[in-house]
This record gives sequence, C-alpha cells and structure tokens, in this order.
Amino acid sequence: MACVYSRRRMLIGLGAATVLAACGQAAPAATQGAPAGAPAATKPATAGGSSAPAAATSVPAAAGQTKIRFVMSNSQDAIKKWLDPMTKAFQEKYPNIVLEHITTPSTDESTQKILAMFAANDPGEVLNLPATRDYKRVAVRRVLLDLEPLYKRDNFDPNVFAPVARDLTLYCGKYYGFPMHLSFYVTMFNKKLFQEAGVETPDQYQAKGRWKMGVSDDGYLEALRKLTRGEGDKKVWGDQRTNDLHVVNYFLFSFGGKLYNEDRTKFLIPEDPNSLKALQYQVDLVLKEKVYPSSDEVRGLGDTFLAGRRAITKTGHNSAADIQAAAEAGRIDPGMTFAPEGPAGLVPREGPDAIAMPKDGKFRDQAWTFLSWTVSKEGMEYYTRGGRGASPRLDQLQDPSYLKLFFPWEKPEIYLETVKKAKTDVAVSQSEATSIFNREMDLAYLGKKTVLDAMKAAKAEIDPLLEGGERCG
Amino acid sequence: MSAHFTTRRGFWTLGRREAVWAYLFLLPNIVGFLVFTALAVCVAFGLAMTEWDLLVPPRFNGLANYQKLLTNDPVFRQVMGNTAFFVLGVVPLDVVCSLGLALLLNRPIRGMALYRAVYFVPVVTSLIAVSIVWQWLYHSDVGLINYFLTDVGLPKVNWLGSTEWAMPAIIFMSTWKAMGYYAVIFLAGLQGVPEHLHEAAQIDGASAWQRFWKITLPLLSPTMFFVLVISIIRSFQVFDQALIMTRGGPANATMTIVYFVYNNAFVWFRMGYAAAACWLLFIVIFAVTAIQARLQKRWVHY
Repeated sequence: MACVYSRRRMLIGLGAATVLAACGQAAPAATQGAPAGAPAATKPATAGGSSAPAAATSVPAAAGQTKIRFVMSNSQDAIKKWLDPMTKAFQEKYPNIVLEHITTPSTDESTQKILAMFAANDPGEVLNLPATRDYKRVAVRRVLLDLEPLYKRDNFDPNVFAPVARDLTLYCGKYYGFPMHLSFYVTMFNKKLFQEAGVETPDQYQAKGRWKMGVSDDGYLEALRKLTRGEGDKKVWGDQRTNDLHVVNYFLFSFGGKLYNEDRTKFLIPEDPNSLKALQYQVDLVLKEKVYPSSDEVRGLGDTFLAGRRAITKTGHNSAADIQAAAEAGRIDPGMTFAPEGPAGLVPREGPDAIAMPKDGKFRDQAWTFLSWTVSKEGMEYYTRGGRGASPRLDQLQDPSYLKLFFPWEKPEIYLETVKKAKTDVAVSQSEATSIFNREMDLAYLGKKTVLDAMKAAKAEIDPLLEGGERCG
Repeated sequence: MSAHFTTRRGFWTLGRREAVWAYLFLLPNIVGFLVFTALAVCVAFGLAMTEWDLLVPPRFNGLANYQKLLTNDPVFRQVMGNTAFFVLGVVPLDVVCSLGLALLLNRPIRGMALYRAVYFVPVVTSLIAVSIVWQWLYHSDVGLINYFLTDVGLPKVNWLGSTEWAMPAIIFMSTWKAMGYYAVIFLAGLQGVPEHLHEAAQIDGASAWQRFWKITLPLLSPTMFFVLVISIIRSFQVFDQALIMTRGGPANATMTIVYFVYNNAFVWFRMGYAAAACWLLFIVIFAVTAIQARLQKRWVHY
C-alpha cells in the first residue's frame, strides 16, 4: 500500500505535535557550566512562598568551582553596599567557591521563602534567618544543621559572641546557627527637632540621670510632651509606639515584666502587673498624652524619623547608615545615647539575625567556610562597612580599628554597655504570637479594649501555640 | 487490504473526525483545567483532612480542621463575618452604581466613547496601585476625602484606622474599582432592549420611570442575574485591597476569608487548615449561587 501523506493528515500530525509541545516541559534549565557534582544553577522553587518575588543573582561556576546559595532577607539593592564588596572579598579568598545570593524584599517574606525552599527539597546552602522571630520557628522543624561538629573541628569558639546574641541561636542546647549582627536598642535622636522645641537632648537628660520613663521623674515623657507639636503634614512627634513582641519586650523588661514562663509554654503578660503597666504606659502615650502618633497618623509616611518628623527612634547600628544618609541630605542632625531606663533600670532588648545551614544542604564544607567567614572578624568588617549591623563578636566591639567603622555621631561605648545589659525572650511560635499580640494591642490603642482584656484575649490564642515549648525531646 | 481501508474510512465519519478536531483544540485547556484546577481541588479536599506544614509528611486528622474552624476559632468566625459584611456592602453598591452608570453611558451624547473609556480605566488599573492611591485618599490627616469633609463642616473620619470605618472604606474603593466592569455588561444588556417597546410605551403615556421599571429592568434581568452571581463570587474572594490598604487590620476588622487562608497557608504553613477553610468558603459560595439560581426563576425574564 502506498503511504499517502494527505494535507489533512499532515495538519493532524502538526496539531498533535503542537499540543504535545504545549503540554510538555519547558526547556531544561541551564546548568551554566557547573562541573559534575556542583549544584545546577536553576532558579529555586517558590512553591507556596511569598507573593513577592525573590531575586537571585546568576553566577556561573567554572570547572573546579562549587556554587553555594546564600538565602537572605532584604532586596539586593538595599544591601548592595554590603553584598558586592563582601562577595568580592570572599571569592578572592576562596576562589573555588562561587557565591550566589537569593534575596527577598522583606524579613517576613524571607522566612516564607526559606520554608518554601525546604518544602521543595532545595533549601540553598546558607540561610540568613531573623533570629528574633523565625530562627526557632525553622529550627523546631528539625531542618537545620547542628554546627557543633564543624565548629569543633575548626576550633571555632561560639563564646566570642555577645552572650545575649549567642544564646538566641542556642536551640535545645545546640547551635544551629550563629548571630549575624547585633541590633542594640539605644536612643537615636534628631538634635534639630530638640533645638527647635527648646528641649534638652536625651544625652543631656542622661547626664543628669533623668533619661527615664514610667517613674515619677519621667524625663522621657517630659521631652516627648515638648517635642510633639504642629498640625497636618507639619506635625512632629516625639517618638512612636513599638509593636511586635520582640521589640516591645524592651518596655516589658524595663518595667520588670516578662513575656513567657521559664520554658516558654505560657504567655504571661496578662498575669504580670509589671508587663501590663509597661503596655499601659505606651497606650497612654498614644491616647492620653498624644505624644506618640496613632497608627493612622503615620500610615504611608514611611520612616518619620528619617523624614525629620520624629525626634527619637530607638534602634541600633543597623539603622545608622540610613540615619547618616538622612543627615547628609540635611533632614536630621543625629545624636545617640542609652535607651530610656524604666522602673527596673536599663534593660535593652536584643534580637540579631542568625546565619545557619540546612541539615540536608549540599556542599556542607563550602557552606561552612562561607558561614564561618561571614561571622569572622574579617567578614564582620565587610558587614559593618556595608551599612549593616554591628559585629556580634565582643572582642571586635572593643577593637579600636573596628570601631573606626562607626559614624562620628555613634558612641561605641554605649553600644557595648547596652549589649551587656540587653535581654531577650523568644518562643518557637513568636511570629504568630506577635501577630495576635499586635491585633489585640490595636484594639487597646483604639481605646476599644483595656490592655488587660486585650492581653487576656491574646493569651487565649497564644497559649495553644506555645504548647510543647521548644520540643527538644 | 481494500476491505480494511473501507472499514477505517467507515469508522472515521465526518462527525467523528470533527469531534477529534474539536477535542484536539480543546485539549490544552482541558489539560490545564485538569492539572491546575480539578487536581488541585481534589488534593485540597484530601489536604483538608490533614495537618501539614509542607516540611514533614501530612498527618491525617479527619475532620479536626473543620471542627476547629467551626467551633473553636474566633478569628475564623470574625473573618466570615467580615466577608459577609463586605459582600452585603459591595454587591448592592456594585449593582446600583454600575446600572446607574450604564444608564448614563447609554445616552446618545457627544464624546460618549470617551466617557465609557474613562469609567473603564479603574477596571484595567492594577489593584495594588489603586489600593495605594486610595490609602492616601483615606488618610485621616492629609487625605483628600477628609479635606472635603472638613470643607463642608463635617468631622474627619479615621477611615482605615478605625474598626468601624475600615471595612466600609474598602467597600467604597472596591465598588469604584469594579463599577466600570459591571457597567459595560449592563450597557450591553441595555443595548439589547428593543427601542420600539420604549416608543410604544411612550406613545401610551408611560413616564420615564415607568418605562425603566416595566420595560428596561425586566428585559435587563438576565444581565442583572449574571452581574449578581459574578459580583457575589468575586466579593467572597476579596483579598488584595485588604492586604495592601490595612493588612487585615485594625484588629482584624478587614481580615477576609481569603486573607485568612493566605495567612494560614503561606505565612504559618498550616496547609490542611487553610484547605479546610477553602472548602468552607466553597460551600458558602456554592450555596449562595445555588439559592440565586433557584430564585432567579421568579424574577429573571429570558
């Protein structure tokens, strides 16, 4: 039989081929010349991840090189000043390791991204986790690598880190990560606004022993009252409220309060008079004193301190580069001193990011090389120089050559004293507890609930989340 | 050989050949539907009976997720209430405003094409961008809306910062955004209303209102039914504007069911719980649509 290829048959064939092509896989991902055994440079999966896109640098690895991926929060533009020189320095020192960055726009999205990457069984090699919120949230899922064999092998001593930061990365008695920086809690202020209002600056209050809050001689409140003035888009505030449990804990600690019980299985705020007093103090500053803006007043305004519309911000060196930029733009004239003391004294909070490795990550040795270099004195110099946080290493914080990296208006001795006095308290479900806490505090700030009722409602939802504690067993 | 050939020709009748062609053309869509919708729906049904955080294998927990949602989750009750409030607020506004707009746009005046385009602009504008602009319009201190309110002697309203006004604010914005879309549908319906019926009624002395009530509206009822169904389904799925404008706040006042699902699935990684909430949302939408379908026999005139 003669095989006849009619036009119709050919069309059918073409149609079928088109359908198959449409339903089939896309072109295979390029391996970008990676050697056998090296990870393919495919874009990591975003299954179930954030709505915001993650960006990945695409760095080709040549023969003999190994590519490792560093997943972190913040957009590449925002951290370019650190990322580029750090990567260059690392590559020069370790030419056989190629570093690829995967970044997400914000901290929250970063953890979503990291968890989604774990779910896709492709978690990257080195992870930057916000310790105060999500380090334990990831660690409890048993997906991080216990670093002990690696740091013991290389005689790396975790005790070089400031204890408050180091202990945040201690989970069930083991280090699954190390602190990546310090986020001190000090008072940074805009001298311009103090001068305009004719108010003594916080360091002057401090020198007189009056930089205190919640006590009879409340210098902090006195300053806020004088600083808050104006109307509409000319309005200036003294300071503003803090949300989030990992930040508001400064108020709790300073008033002698606490968030959780010993094993972090109970949310204690509604049962602790000092904690309630601390929260009430903040609510009063919004509702009664009106020296903190309501959330609606500052909606969409961005950082009011950097815009020159707020006199005080309580933050750390990690904000110093932005403050310096605002100063260079003429919007502010920065100064710094300790955070205000509460009735229980000066008890700042601390909450650094952590750097960790996935348990089942590839290229363990190369990833450890990068991790340990990042938290080394050399790595931390790049971090600080790049406008990020200060080194978590106590020895480095006392090293005059390192301290030269700070801006002239910063006071390293205050940082050092602050980190020695700082406290922290983080539960496994801190992120979710924070969202519940914030929701209930919103009602207190709107005057629709008392602080006690708000915290009782929060406890009803938070306690079930804390059940089982850190689940170390 | 010849007999075999004849048999094959006999099998491939014109009807069968056309059917094969039809299925071939439909195949990409069918495959897409099966993989990305039907399969996902089936998987979600199974997932809803598990506890799963994406990292450890799912653990079967029967109907525990549904039980918790329905009996022991005050947030879920609140978000269901918020969503119902949004639907009840936005759907009547959508219908009334878009019908009114369509009636205006159906008049034979100069530049009508331009007006139609202008009112459709919000529909094709990114919801994210629109939400950010409206966030500023609603600003209590420097927002344009409060500026006009104070100009006429009314007090400022804390639009997005108060639990009372945040959801109405989102409802107004959503209506403004969707109005153009439904107006176009109504406009198409209006243009299908025979002009001679209006002329005859006019000759008989019917007023404009009577003509609208007795002629236009009944003949527009199939369009109205379509708009109602679509508007209700879309309203139950509201998410973006709450995410951008208020982040579900203050105090969950604008947290909707889809926002709740998003939080549980992609923020807290409780896939089973989120899937169960999705199924409850589906049941609600299905029930409301079924009721509408049943009731339409009474008022829709085809």
